[in-house]
Amino acid sequence: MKILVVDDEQDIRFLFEQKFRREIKSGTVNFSFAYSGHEALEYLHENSQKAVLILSDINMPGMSGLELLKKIREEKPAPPPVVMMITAYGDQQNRESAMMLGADDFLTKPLDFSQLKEKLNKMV
Amino acid sequence: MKRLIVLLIFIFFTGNLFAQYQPTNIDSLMAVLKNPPDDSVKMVALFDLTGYYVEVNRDSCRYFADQGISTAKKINQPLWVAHFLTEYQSYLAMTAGNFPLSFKLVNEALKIVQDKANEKNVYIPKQYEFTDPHKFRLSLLGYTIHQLGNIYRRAGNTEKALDYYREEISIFESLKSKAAMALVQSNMNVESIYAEKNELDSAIIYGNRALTKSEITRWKLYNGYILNILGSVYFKKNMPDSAKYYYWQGLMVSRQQKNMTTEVMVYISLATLYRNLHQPDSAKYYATMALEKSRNNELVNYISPAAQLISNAWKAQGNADSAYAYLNLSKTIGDSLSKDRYEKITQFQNLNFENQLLLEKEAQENISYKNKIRTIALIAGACLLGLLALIFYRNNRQKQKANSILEKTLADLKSTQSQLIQSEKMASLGELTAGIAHEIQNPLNFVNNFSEVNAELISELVDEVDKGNYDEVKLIAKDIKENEQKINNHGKRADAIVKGMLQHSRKSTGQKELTDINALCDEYLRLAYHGLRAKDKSFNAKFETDFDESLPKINVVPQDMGRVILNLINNAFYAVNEKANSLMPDAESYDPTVVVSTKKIGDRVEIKIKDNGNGIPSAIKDKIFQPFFTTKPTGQGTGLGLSLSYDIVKAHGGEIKVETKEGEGTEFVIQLVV
Repeated sequence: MKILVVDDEQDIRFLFEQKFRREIKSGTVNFSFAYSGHEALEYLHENSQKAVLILSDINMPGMSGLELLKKIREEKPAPPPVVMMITAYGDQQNRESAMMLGADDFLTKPLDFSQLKEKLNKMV
Repeated sequence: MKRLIVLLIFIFFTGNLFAQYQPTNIDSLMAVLKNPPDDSVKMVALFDLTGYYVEVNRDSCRYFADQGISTAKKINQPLWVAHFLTEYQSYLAMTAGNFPLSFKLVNEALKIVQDKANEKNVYIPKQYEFTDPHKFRLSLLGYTIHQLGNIYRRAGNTEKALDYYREEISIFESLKSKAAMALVQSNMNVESIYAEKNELDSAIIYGNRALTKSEITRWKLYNGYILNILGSVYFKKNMPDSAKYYYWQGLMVSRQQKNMTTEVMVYISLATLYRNLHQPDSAKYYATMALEKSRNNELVNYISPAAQLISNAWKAQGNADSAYAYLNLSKTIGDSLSKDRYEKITQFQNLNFENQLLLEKEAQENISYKNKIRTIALIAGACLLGLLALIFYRNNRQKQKANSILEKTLADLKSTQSQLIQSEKMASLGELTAGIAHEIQNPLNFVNNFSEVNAELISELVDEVDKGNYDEVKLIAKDIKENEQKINNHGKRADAIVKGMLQHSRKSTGQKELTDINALCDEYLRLAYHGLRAKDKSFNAKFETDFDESLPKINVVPQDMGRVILNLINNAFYAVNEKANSLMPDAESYDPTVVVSTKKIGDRVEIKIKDNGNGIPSAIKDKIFQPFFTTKPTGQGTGLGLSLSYDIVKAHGGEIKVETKEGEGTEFVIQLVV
């Protein structure tokens, strides 16, 4: 399963690679990383093999996660990817905005990877 | 009989100009005075004695006049009081040049003689021309008016003098007086005035009248004077022979009458005549006579003109030295006389006869009224004073009240100001909280997750050790180490954020510390950005940094300078956000950007915060650093941000400038000394 992780925190890559080291080794998941909304869009445009799941932070410089979500929903890539937004704890406003824009799910910081893994398992 | 004649002479003597008396009768007068049959006789004797001394001894004259007045008052003879006042007191004052006093005294006399009631019980010596009280009073009125004419004449008001003299003449004419010397004098005085006015024919008429009256009244004492004037009239008419005739007549009469004054006057007239006839020797002769006689008899008024004439004569004869000597004498005496005379006349001219009379009349009539008014005024004044005191007291009270209100207001304002400054601080902190939450959650996310990962990795490590798979163990150990490093980094990051937040909310210590301006800018830029993003989901802007890595640490109060930077960055983001929101959907693409840059310029550190918002309208550009000035909607801005920033930068000895272009953006530049 191809997953695109969008976050301006570059350490997110190491965290995911560590957390999913077994899954990566086994080839069940394949992570790509983008560090801004623009990079994410570029990735989506350039790669023919589309990501099934997009995990995106909201607060990012330049294009925010919500804008990225909006663009994705506007561009309607086929098949439509599952978009999960990563929001700060208790950030109800952003959650509602994301729902309106067509987010599929939420993850709350600090990320609970066991919870994330459960969700991925359901998707698979 | 002889004594009677002398008495008559004294009684009608008006004291004018040049009275001269033989001292022969003084002894008999003194005898009367020593042992008077009654006070009335004593009073008349005093009057006669005073008349004798008027040209002989002024002090004696004054003494006897005072005695006479007190005697007249004692036996209730007001008309006699007036008589003394007019004939002596006023006359003495006049000849002494004290016109105001003379005028005052004659007016007192006038009031008395105008009152018919004073005729009652008046004492009139049998030998007097007018024994009827009414006629007696009118004759005194005539003398009084005569004295008024004299004063005006001496003071130079000839018109008024003429009026009085004519009035006097008509009084004595109506009395059909045959003895009144005043008739001679008044006609003579009118003659003299007309001569001065160059109404020569009138002068001749009055001169001849005076001579006629002197024949009738047998008063020839003044004939020398009358003739002298007639001579000068003919002199003016350019008839020197007639002039010479009258002058000679005058000289003879004067010598006959032993009238020194008229004799001197005639000498001067003759000297003048001969001077004009170009006969300097004769002129010098008569002028010298005049000078000698006037010197010997203390007739000071004639010394100066006599000396002048002698000087002229010497000059005409070419003797400059003598001419100069006499000219000097003339001038010295003339100057001192004219100065004194000028001062006295000025005093007199300040008085107005009619006004004086009116005022005095009113003064008497209104004396009780004035007293009443004074009392009322006093009460009113006291009331007014009380009122004023009350008003002042009230004013003072009100001022004190106002002062205490002002002091309270000032205290309130000070406390409000500090509250506002605090709320400005808290407002900017509030804007930060969301950003802070985000900023903290991110490192916390890593700390938690990496530590979880490490826990997992360690159990894996144990498994691999058990398997003896040491290559894998080494790889895992390496990952653990890296993660540990990341945990440490993110932990420190969270720590820094919390510290920064505390620093911002904390009161400034006021202590300067060596501060990394780049780090300070970066920290607050991020806080501001994320804060705004958290607050307004639609907010979207780009920020860029361009930090000069060679920037040295500089001594600033970090909390204060951080607040300045935060403020400017917040404003910049606000500006670009405003512009983005105001743009039409179909407008050209707009890339809201805030650039924070630092640079070292010489001994200065420059911080620039630039945005591409709408810029500041030039109309308000000068106001932006003023306290409470804000363009933000009510409740959104305190209007203190830039004002405080300005104060802080100034307190650091730095400068803050703004460069802005409407529609293109704004750049704030802070320069701080290294």
